[in-house]
Amino acid sequence: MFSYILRRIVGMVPILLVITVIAFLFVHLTPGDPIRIMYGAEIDQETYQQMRAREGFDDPMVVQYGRYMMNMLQGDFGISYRTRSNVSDEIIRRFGYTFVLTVLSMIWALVIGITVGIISATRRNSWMDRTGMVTTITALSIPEFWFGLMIMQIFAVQLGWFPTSGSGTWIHLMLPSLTLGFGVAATIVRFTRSSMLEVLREDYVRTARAKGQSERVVVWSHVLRNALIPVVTMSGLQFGFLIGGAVVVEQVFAWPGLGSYLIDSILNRDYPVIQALILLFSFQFLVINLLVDISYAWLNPQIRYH
Amino acid sequence: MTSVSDAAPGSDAPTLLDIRDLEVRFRSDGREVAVVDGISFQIRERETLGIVGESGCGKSVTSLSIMGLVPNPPGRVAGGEIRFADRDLLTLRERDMRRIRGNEISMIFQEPMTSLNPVFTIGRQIDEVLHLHNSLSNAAARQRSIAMLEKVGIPRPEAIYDSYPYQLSGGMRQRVMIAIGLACEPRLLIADEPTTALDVTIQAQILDLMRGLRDSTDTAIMFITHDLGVVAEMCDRVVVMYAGQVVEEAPVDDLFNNTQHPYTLGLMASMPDASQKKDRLYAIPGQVPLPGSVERGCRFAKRCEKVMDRCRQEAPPLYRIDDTHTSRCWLHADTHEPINVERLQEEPSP
Repeated sequence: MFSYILRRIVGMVPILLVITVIAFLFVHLTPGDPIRIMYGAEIDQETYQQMRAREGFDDPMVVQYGRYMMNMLQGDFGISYRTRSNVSDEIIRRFGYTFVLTVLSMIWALVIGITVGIISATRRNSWMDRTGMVTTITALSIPEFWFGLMIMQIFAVQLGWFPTSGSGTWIHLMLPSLTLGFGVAATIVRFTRSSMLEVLREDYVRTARAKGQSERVVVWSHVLRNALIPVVTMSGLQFGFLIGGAVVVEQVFAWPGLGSYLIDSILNRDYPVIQALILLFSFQFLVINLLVDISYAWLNPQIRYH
Repeated sequence: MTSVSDAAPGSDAPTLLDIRDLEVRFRSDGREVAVVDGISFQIRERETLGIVGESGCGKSVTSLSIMGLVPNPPGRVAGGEIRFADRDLLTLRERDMRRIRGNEISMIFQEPMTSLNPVFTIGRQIDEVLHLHNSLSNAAARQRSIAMLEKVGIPRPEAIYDSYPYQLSGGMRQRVMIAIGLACEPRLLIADEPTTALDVTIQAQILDLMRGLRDSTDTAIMFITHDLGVVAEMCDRVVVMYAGQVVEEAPVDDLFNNTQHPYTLGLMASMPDASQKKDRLYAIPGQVPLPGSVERGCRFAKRCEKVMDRCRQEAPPLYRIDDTHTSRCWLHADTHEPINVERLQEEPSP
């Protein structure tokens, strides 16, 4: 198991390298001159050349990439063009917000998704199952920003149970995390349900019943443990999408996380920030995939030993 | 190899399982049809009864009814009685039925490759049945599980206890299934085609093992198979099923030496015989009719070589050939007496 994890971590290195190259080239391949963005379009030609040299844009690409990598390894992601503040500091400050939001959304999604999925599968074609299926289809069809605005309208504006936006307490977190988790929960419900139904037909489930095991233990132990294997993989991928979804939801609820930071930076062509966030999001995706594979190996003994 | 075991108990052993007029219906395409259609037979204590017939005869459904595991929906037990040691299993509450499953009646299945849970260790899966029916400490369960593994001929039982099913071959997995089945010393073991999915050499090993266990334990065995060779090696008595009905029942020697029903004759003719090299293997023409598809007459009529006009019109009753031998065929109409059990039970309804 340990060597398996180690191999997976080593395998991440080349992928990360490729991502740094892409993120690095991003600044050079996108339209818009960074010097003019930083210092304004009006600066004269002489100043422009000076600035270019000072920022190191005249050096060969390889040198620039090397410098970029050296800085990055020291945790230096450069200076924001717009605010002139340190990008790493800003990311560290905002990361916690996005982290709490996405993790809580994922917890919602897993708890709701797996529970409803099990109920649907074990009471197949009952009214509960049918209600669940209609709800999930609806949830999957609704765009997040619209759903967010709707529950904001109902629960914050009309009922006044939650604040409309902002941050500070855990109550502020409820509506954004539910909005973000809702779509993922729907996907997990459907996936859990079909996976459970498949496993319920397996011969070893009949064996467990033939031992005299109660239906509760058959479902929650024998069936669930096997049905969760594909659900775990799928949830990991969903977690990646959740990071993307956070960008929209943070904007709707004015949540001061990385998502709203990314949108601001794109609107202002703040390349160092965009660059750093691309790297961070890719890195998160890789880490999540690693965690998925580890839990997959833990669930599936056949993987664990190979 | 073909002789019947000397351990065959006399006909005076008490009845353990008594099935009467069992009817199991399945719903398909909005129509409900009888897959098991009024079968009756008994198993005595310590006896090995063979249930023979082609696929689709209702053998497996019969065994699942005894276990109370007919998938519902689409299936349901629609009538009859299953008496096991003086209890009617069909009227037991689920809780009480659970105490019997795996404990007093256990079952091993056709597919050893898929019958064990892939994510649990072998040991845990044997421990499970022990814990369910006995109050044992973990250490005691482990000890008994390892002893069971040893008993079913698994080498290095301590190591296998901690392995996962995928690390074992099909034959080994079937041995584990047998260990699970016998762990609680059941009074009845239902073996549903336990060797069908295995290689021939492994089949022989598993049959050897089961014969040894049959002789060394007090467990009665209901051995479901479509292989008459296996029947000859394993069983004391045989029930031949066709299209949801019992068509012939006899002690094993009688069945082979004094075969009555044309279907049984057909099954015997289609057995490959290594000593006589035939150009073509005999096969009964046609196939088992779908449940509910024969509207009148004998269910075997379409495939029968001895079919008569009467067979196409009226369904034959069971005829008593002698004290222990019955056969459901019009050929016996002039020479033997029919058994009217089924008729008598149907009459009271208006």
